[in-house]
Amino acid sequence: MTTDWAKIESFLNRVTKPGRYTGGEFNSTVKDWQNVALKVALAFPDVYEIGISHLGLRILYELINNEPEMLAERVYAPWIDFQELLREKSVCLHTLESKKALRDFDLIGFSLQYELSYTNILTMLELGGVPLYREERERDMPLVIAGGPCAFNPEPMADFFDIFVIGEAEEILIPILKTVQEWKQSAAPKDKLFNDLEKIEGIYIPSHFKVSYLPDGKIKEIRSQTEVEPVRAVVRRFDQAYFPKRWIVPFLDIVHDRVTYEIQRGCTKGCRFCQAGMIYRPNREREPGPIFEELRQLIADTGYEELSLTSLSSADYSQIEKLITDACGCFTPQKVNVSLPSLRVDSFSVGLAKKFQSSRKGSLTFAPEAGTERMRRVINKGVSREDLLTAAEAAFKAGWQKLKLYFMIGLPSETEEDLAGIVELVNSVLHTGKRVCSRTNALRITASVSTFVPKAHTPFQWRSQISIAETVAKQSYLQTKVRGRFLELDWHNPETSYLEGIMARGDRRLSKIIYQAWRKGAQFDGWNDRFKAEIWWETFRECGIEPEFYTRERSYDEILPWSHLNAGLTMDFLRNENEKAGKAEPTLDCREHSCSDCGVCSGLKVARRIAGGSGV
Amino acid sequence: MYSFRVRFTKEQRQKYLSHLELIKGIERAIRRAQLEMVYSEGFHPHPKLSFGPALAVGTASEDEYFDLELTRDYPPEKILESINKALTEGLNVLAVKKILHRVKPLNAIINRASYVMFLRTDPRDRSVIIDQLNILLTSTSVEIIRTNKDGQKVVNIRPWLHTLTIRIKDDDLLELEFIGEIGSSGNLRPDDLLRVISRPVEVLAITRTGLWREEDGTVTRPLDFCDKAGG
Repeated sequence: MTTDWAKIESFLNRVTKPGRYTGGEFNSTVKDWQNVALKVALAFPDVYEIGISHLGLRILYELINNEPEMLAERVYAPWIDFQELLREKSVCLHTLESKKALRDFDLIGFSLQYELSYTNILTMLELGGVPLYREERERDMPLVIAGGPCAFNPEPMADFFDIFVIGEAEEILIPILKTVQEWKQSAAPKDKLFNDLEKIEGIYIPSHFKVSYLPDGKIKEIRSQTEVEPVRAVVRRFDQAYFPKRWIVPFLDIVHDRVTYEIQRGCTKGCRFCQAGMIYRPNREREPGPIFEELRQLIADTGYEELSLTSLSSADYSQIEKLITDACGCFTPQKVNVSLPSLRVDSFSVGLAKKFQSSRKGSLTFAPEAGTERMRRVINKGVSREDLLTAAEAAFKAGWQKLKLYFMIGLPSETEEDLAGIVELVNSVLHTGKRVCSRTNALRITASVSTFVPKAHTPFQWRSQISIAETVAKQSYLQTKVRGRFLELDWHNPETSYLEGIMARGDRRLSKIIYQAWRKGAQFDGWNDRFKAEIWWETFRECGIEPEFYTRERSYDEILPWSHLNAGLTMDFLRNENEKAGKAEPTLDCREHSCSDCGVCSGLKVARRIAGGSGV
Repeated sequence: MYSFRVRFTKEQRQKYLSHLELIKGIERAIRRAQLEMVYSEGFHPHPKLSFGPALAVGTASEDEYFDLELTRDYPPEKILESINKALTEGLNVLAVKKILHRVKPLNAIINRASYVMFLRTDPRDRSVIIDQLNILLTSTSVEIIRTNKDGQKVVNIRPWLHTLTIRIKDDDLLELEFIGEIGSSGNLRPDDLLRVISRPVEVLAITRTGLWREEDGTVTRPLDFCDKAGG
């Protein structure tokens, strides 16, 4: 297959949204292909509108392009119609910038954001002219590397990748690429490269580990051949970490069509189900002054009419009030909307929202996560019923009429009472709305209910996930109870969540399942209208693997598929948190209370950092 | 406030932008150019920016227009230069003219569009295709079926086709140059011409080459209206 832009142009008119494949956006970087030593394709295994919205790849794209010797170009998962034409016309999947085939790059870096995008990775490699399995790739073929949250248990994809980066890549990326560049200029075999890379913090070389299994399918041993333990990479001075300056402005209507500025990293609220809250510890804040200056520059340079102050919990940023006030003062007159991606369940957050949504009120979202006080203590979500009702009241009084509430079903130890609690809470919020709002016609309370999926490196990594049948039963219960003129209920596809759960805690034996399911046509599994559950369950049957094996409860002495990967959290902490969950005991936020002894600060030699202060 | 009419091109890969994507892209380019636009009042302010007739996705153009309201009386050449600096390759402002009188919106004045279309054909089909296209000119009525989301509709495109020139560029390559009606009085789409052809053709490129008003035999270009009273 070749990549020939003229050939692609001859069929671009026949696909939906051809702008997904053309590139040429403002601030994209096109370097001279001949004059760089190392070429990197940054790949996102979902459509353009989702991939270009991802902040992490924007950072890496600029970091690489800032190096005179290197170039980074982008590629996203082609939609079905474009795939068919690429195959029919024998054209390779190309990057947006130089329109080069993926196989022409030295390195292809995938972002692993969610488990249901795994099949798209195979599509992209195949269409890009790159052999899928690591073992099939010769020395002169691209190295295939991945990072992102799923790299904390990348085992299901282990056979396809040369290298995984665990944790925050921005400080180790250039050292990694320089090592690759030196190796490319040498005649040394891949092994030499892998040994050199392994010295860098955050690197995990899957081929250096051999996994053996017991007759019952559990892991017998994960043996390292080099005695090097992969440890999560962490940015120690996040306040000085690079932030994109040449923000790409797409023409297409993308998912997050705005400047998103990461004001802090890490959250120490300690919700026991939350993987992001565990793997991005500790909390590190940027300084408000530089944030504000960079935002001014970004808004002027991009022409964007919206900006978002993003992080896992932006209302917890110590100087959020000042930052929002300053931002609104500066940007509102320029017709730029300021927003926060998520709110805390309290009236302080509603106060913040009031600042930036002065005229037109959309909807506000709160995440109580569970229906009863007991269940919220189990998951360590420190929100009371009163907090929610107070926050809701403040929101209604401020003029909002649409509230969205996030809940999870299938949490550990969940009973019928906890489900009834969700119904009761939704009705209480509605009741508050009816009491407070002068005109109740536009009142709308949406309960958005997802299925709990236990994730690696969280206190719930040992817990079981509910079956598809149980999910359906719980959803039907809510469907019959959350009803009425002002109420709305959203829920997730039960089978999608189940597959996500299998992959999230899967082992290397799943590589063949992913491959076979993909061969039979599985792709875009995260898209409800594309997900073909039957293909997956049929593949599991054919391969003689029970899906339930991966969603079952695990014992403390079982070797978990990711147990050789050090995320910085100690096993004692995770186990203790899981035990406390059983007793519905809370663990307080280490920002306001004593250290919860998760192990990250001491283990990774990093400190939490409050704006205006030093590390603690 | 001060109104300006801007003439620009949409070519190369930017021809794949939809009309809405183009509007958003131009709007942001004007913001990047630090030209202060006038916004509508209300909960959801929009910049006062209005475009001429939409182009189909994939059709390039050498002659597109939008009207723009700014809070300051910038010199037109400064507007041209600063927008061009903020635009990406494929979009290019050719001229900016200040609107001196109240003018009708672009969509109300423009009623003619010219196009050039390149078709690849089997050389053996060529004479049949040329005959079929020529019938367009010699008939008094040419009915085609148009399909849209509301269903199918029979339309007579003949009154909308004003000129058509066919050139043989190569054994397998035909060039069609034509002028059609556009706007409220009728709308000839380049694709419509293909409906009368019974043999397989591949459309290689379509370019809109001009937009203007023609009334009683008089041609007026959109920029000419800017300093003409009663336009």
